Amino acid sequence: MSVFDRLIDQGDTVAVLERAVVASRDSTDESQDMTHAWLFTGPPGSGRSNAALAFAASLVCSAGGCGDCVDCRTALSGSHADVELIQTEGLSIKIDEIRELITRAAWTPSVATYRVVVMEDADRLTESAANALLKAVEEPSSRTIWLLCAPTVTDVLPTIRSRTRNLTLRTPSAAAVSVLLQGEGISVNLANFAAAASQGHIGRARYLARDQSARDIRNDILKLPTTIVDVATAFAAAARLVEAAKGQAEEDAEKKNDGELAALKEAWGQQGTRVVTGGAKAVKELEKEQKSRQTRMVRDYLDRALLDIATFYRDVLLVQTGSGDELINPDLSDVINAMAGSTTPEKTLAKIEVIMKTRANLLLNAAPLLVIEAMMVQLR
Amino acid sequence: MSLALYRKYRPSTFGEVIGQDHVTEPLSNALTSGSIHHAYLFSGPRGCGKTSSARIMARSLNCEKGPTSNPCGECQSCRDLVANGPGSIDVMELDAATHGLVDDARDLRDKAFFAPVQSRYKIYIIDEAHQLGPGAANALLKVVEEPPPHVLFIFATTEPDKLIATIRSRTHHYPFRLVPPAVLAEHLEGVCKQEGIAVAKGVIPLVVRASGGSVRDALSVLGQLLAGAGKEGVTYEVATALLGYTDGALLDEAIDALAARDGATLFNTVNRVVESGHDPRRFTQDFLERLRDLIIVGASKENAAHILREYPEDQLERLEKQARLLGAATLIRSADIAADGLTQMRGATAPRLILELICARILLPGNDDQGLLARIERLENGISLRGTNAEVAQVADKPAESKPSTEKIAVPAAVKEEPAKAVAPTPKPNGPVDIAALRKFWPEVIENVKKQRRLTWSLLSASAQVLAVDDKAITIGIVNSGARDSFVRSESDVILRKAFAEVVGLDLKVECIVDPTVNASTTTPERMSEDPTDALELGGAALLAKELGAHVIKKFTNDV
Repeated sequence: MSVFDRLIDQGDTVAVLERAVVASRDSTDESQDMTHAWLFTGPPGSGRSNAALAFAASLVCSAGGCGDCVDCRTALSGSHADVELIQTEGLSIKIDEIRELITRAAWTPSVATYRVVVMEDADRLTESAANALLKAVEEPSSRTIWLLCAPTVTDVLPTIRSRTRNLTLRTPSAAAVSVLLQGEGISVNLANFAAAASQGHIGRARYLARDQSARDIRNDILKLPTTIVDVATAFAAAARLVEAAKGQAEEDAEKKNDGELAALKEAWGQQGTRVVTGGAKAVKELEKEQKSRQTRMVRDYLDRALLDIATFYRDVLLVQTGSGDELINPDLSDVINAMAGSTTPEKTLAKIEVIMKTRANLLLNAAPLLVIEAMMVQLR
Repeated sequence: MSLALYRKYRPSTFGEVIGQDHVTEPLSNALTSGSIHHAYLFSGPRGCGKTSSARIMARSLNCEKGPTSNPCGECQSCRDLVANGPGSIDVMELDAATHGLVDDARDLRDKAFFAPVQSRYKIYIIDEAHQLGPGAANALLKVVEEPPPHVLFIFATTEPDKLIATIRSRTHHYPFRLVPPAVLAEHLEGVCKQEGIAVAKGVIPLVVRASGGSVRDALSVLGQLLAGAGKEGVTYEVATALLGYTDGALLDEAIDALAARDGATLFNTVNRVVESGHDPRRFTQDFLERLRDLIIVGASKENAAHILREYPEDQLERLEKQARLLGAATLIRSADIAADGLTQMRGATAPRLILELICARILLPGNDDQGLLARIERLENGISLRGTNAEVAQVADKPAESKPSTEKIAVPAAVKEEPAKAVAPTPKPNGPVDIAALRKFWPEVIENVKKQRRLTWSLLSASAQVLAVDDKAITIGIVNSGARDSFVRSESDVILRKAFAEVVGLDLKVECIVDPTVNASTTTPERMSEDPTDALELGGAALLAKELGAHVIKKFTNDV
C-alpha cells in the first residue's frame, strides 16, 4: 500500500515522484531526481491536487509514503504540522495571504524532514501575489518544498513556471476510470458508461455512477437539443435547463448551508433563540457568503450542462465526418445518427461555437436565462 | 537533496554569464575604468541573468582588489558573495513584490545613509522592481537620484515599462535578451559534462526548444531530464516522453489527413493522441509549430533547409509536399485557428473537446474571409491538378483570323502582324473559371494590346483589372466612367478580345464596367518607357479633342 495508489492511470508521473522521494531521503544524493519546486498540471479531474498531496505525504512520512502511518494520514487530510495546504473557495489568492505564507514556509519543519507547501490553485494567485512568491520559490530555505497545482502551465506566470519542475498528468483513460469505479462496487455497464460520459474526469464519473438522479438530469439535458424545433420550444428548453440548474444548486446548497449555519450558531453559543453579542452579525455574514456561493453553483451547473450539450453535438459532428466509433454518449447513438443525417457538419460546428460562446458569456456574469435562451434559439 | 541546476550553475563573474555580451562587456569596461554610475536597471525576460548579473556587479564592486571586472575570489566580500554563498551584510537583496509598500521604501531610505559595515559600497539590489507600488517608487526617487557616495542601487525587473519613468530616467538601463540557441546549447552541453551524465544527440536541441531561450527554463528542463536518466544516460526517447513532445509520426498523420480533408482519420488521430497519454494541449502546440514550419517551407522553397536546420533531408521533402498540398491560405488559417484554440485551452475545460473543435474548424472552412480564401485555394489546387485542358488548342487557333477587320483606326501593318506570329504557336493553359490564372496573363494581354492599338493600351494599362470571368464573357473593371465610355466608344473591347484570344486562347465577349477600386498605380512605370516618336502618341489637347470632342477655347502660359 502506497500513497501513490490513489493516483489513477498516472504510471509515468508516479515513477518520477517515487524516484524523487528516494532521492529526498538521502542527504548525500547528488542526482537531480529531487528538486525544491514542482508544478503539477493536468486537465480537471485528473487528480492534480491528489498527486501533490500524495507527494507531500511521502516526503513527510518516515517510510516514504506508506499510506498507513499518522504522518501520511494527517498529510493527506491536510492537518499535518509540516504540510501547509493552501486551498481556496474564493476566486483568488491574495497577496496578504502569500506574505504570511512565505514567512511560515521558511520555518524549519517541526517533526518531519521537510516542510511542504501544497498550493491547490496556483492559477488563482493574483498577479501581485504570484510575484511575491517568486523569490521564495526560487531559493527557499534548504528544507522547504513547494508543490503548486494548475490546470495548464499558461495559467501561472512564466516567471513562476521557469522556477519549477513541471509534471503533467494525463487524462485518465476511460478503461482505467471504469476499473476504478468497478473496484468501488459499481456494475461493469454502469462503470463503463460513467467513464465514457465523464471524459476522464474522475470526480464526475464517480458522481454519475453513484447517483441515479445525476444520471437522470444528464439524460434530460442531453435530450434538450432534440426537442428544439421552433422558437417556442427553444424558449421552453432554455427555461427547463435553467430551472434544473437552479434546482440542483439549491438542493446542494441547502445540504451544506444548514450544517454550516448550525455549526456557526453552536460556536457562538446559541441556546434556544438567544445568541451572544456579535453572533447575529456572523450569522448574517455567513448567509451572505452562502448566497454568493449558490450563485456560483448555478453557474457551475449550467457550465457543466452546456459542456454536456456540446459533447452531444461533438458526437453528431463525428458521425457526420465519418468516424463514429468513439462516441462520448453511446447511449444516445440513434438520436445522434438521426440528427447527423438531417444537418450538415458546418451547421453542427456553428452550433458548438454558439455553445462555447455562451459559456464564455456566462463566465462574464451575463444573466443566465437570457444567454441560455439566446443560445437555444440559435440551436434550432 | 541536491541543489537545482539553475542554482548550482549560477554565474559568479561576468565572464560566466552567457549570451549577454552587449551588457556584460560595457559593464566590465565601466568597472575596469572606474566610471561607475550610482543606479542601474537590468531588464529582460525570465531566466536570462538579471539577478545573477546584479549579484555579480555587487561582488565586482566590493572586491577588496576592485572595483574590478574580475573579482579575486579570495577576499571576504568575494567569498561572501559567491553564488550560493552566505551573502554579505553590505549587499541587500530586496524583493519588491513583498517589500513594495511605501513604508518599506521609507525604511530603506533612512537606512541608506549609514556607511557600509566592511565593504566599499552599500548595494541595494531591488528585484522584481515592477512590483514597487507607486508610493514606494516615488519615495525612493530622491535617494536614487542623489544617493550618498557609498550607496548603489541595482533594479532588476522583467517588465521595465511598469517601473515609473522617473525611476527609469535616474538609472542606466541595460536590457538583457533571451539567449540564442547555439550559445545556450553549448552551455547545456557543458553542464551535462560537469554533471557526468551522457546525453544522446538531439536531446539538447529539444531542451533549447522547450526553454524558449531562457537559461533558467532550460536548466529546469534539463534537471528533469537528468532525473529521468537511466544507466545509459538521457536517450532521445526518454527526453521526448518526459517533455511530452508529440511523436513526429502523429503530426504527419494529422497534417496528411488535413491535406486530404479526411475527417475520419483526423479525429482518429486525435483519439490516439489522447489514448496514448499525450497532453492535448501539448499536441496543439506542436501542431501549431508544424504549421509554422510548413508556412516557412511554402514561402521560402529551396531556402527552407537553411532556416529549418533541425529537419533531416527526407523529412524536409515531406514537409514540402505537405505545404504544396495545403496551400498558404489554408496553412495560415489553420495556424490562426490552432493558436486561438490554445488560448481557449487555458483554465478548466475538457481539453480534448477543444482539440476536436479546432480540428473541425480547420476541416470546415466557414463563411469568414479566411475561410473563403481557403476554399478558393482548394478550387485552384483542384484545377491545377487536373492538368491542361484538351480544348486549349482548338480555342486558341480560332480567334486569330476571326475579327481582324473590325478595327477602325489604321494600325501599321507591321505592328499588327507581329503578335499573331509570335503568339500563335504557344498554346496557354485554359481554365474557364480560374480568374487568378487569367490575372497572371493580364500584363501579357496588355502588351499585346499595346502592339495593336496605343489608345486602348493607354486606357487599360494603368486603370483596369480583370474582375470576373465565366463561360460567356470576361468582365473588365475600369477605374472611372470617362475612361469606360471612351473604351466602349472606341470599340477597344474588340481589340482586347483579340488580345485575350491570342495570349490566353480564350475568345469571349469582353464586358466593361466601372470599378473605382481598381488600383491605378500598378503599371505607371511602363508609361515612362513610352516612345515619344510613336505615330499614335497623342498630346493632351489632341487626345481630348479626339476622344471627347473637345475644342480649344484659349491658350495661356502658366507663369509661376
